[in-house]
Amino acid sequence: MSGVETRERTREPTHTVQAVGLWRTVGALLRKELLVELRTLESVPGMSLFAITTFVIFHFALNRGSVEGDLAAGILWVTLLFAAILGVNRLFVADADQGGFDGFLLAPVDRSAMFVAKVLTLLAFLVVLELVAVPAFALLLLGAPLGPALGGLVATLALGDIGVAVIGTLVAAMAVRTRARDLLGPLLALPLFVPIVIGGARAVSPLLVQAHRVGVGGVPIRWLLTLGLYDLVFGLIAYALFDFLLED
Amino acid sequence: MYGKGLRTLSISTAVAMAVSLGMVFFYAPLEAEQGFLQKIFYVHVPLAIIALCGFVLGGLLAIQHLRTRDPRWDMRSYVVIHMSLIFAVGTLITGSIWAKGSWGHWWVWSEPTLVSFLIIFLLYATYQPLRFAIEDPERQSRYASVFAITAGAFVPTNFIAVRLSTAYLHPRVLGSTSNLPGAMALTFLVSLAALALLFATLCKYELTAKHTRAQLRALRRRLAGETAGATPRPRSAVPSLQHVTTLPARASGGPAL
Amino acid sequence: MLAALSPTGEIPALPLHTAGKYVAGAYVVLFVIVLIYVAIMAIRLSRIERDLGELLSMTEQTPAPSAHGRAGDHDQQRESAPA
Repeated sequence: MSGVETRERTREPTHTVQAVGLWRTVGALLRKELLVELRTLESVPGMSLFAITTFVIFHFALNRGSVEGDLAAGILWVTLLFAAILGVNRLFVADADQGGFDGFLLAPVDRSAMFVAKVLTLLAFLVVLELVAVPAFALLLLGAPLGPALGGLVATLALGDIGVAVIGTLVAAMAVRTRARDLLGPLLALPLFVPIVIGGARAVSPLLVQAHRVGVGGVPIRWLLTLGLYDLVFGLIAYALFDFLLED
Repeated sequence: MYGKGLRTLSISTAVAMAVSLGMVFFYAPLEAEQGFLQKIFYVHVPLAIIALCGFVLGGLLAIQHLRTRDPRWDMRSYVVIHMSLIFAVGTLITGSIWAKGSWGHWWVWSEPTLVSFLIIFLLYATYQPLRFAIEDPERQSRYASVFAITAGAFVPTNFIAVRLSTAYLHPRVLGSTSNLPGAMALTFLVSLAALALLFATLCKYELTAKHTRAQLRALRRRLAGETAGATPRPRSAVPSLQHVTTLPARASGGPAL
Repeated sequence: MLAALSPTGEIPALPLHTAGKYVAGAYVVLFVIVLIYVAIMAIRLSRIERDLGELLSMTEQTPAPSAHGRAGDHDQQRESAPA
């Protein structure tokens, strides 16, 4: 943003008058984001298509017709993560290119609302992505029945998605106004995603096996706790730090 | 003045390193299981510990920067992270050498320290490109601080997560640091202290050098300000100290910050 | 592991033929890191020295801001080689 260089640097964060409450602002922003996505369909169809294509590529790369256990959990998580990266890359592009940041900063609203709204937006994109990708995975590659695994899978994916959404939003905001935004985003995000992959894949892999115990979804609590703790810690950190990215 | 305690610090570092090397090779007993190879422990583990503490320290310094907006904190954060990255590379290399000596492979996935360090290295390797990709110095410092804080919080999280994932697979390859007999524990502590001093000395050295460069640039701007147009500062990942030199700031003629 | 290599089952005093080179390698890595740093600092120091020399010659050529009003200062253009 070229006009920034000549402006005087503010020494402290500007105090915003909270004329509009946080959740109302979040609601308004969220509605705008989802409307834009519904009208332009820039992110979610691309992400879903990418996931399905990746499954096909995995079939040829691994030379297997069906996978289960660790391999299945790994393929699922890797594909979901890379599809999520696509969404992360696009998350703030419209705001950065079309002055959405400036407009938001001028409004008398709590700045953290943008963070919450963007996290919820990315979360919504991920949920729709998974509604497409998981059945596709079950159809194309999974060698075990999906039904009994569904409960544990949904729980793990929910917790993992929150982590991906939080980290993805923070990283997207950092990368969008730099020179190499499409490259820096994934480079920053992927190492940060590793604990999510660890927790998510280890949690899901006992579910995706043929000889599955009927009844209780046997997801080890340990991994769900790891994911939950990660979400909490980084959710708080990202919430606290996001404002600093929005200044100027 | 950054260079004030540098001489004392570097002399104590040299002495401590000499003492620690002496203790490693002449005082610490040979370990029963791994024999002479175990001596790598006294350089690999302190490097790891110091690198990790350095990354967390970089995050803390970045918090100070965001609170006070003083660029000097950003400079300290930058230097500490840079040095920790170098120590992390040293950890990876020495750990790899140890793995090769112990197991015959240059890389093992079952050693959680090495795996965690690989991930952390990949993360912090993006610090410099991130800085370089932002041209406005103030925004560069701010974004870098946000990154340093996030990554600093990530370091312990990552360690826990990786350790959890390997805990039930294999026993530790390179041995743990608990249950050390007295002589080895003492040698380890001395090595840790020596490498910590080395870290501090190198950081201080680096800060002094950067400050000197900044003072030189300010001097050059002051002298050239009236005759020729001052040369604008080229794009750089290094935090700028343009207004914290001992010279009074120019009212005009310098590049706008 | 090493005990299994020796015929009597004892650990040799200083098995330089097997583990020695790895230990040496690890410590050499540390040494080389510090040496590389020393080299980088040496390059920077010489650059600082060169810059200071340039600035010194600039002060001898360019009149100081307060010297405009000084009379008889015609020797500012004299080239003097830095020491």
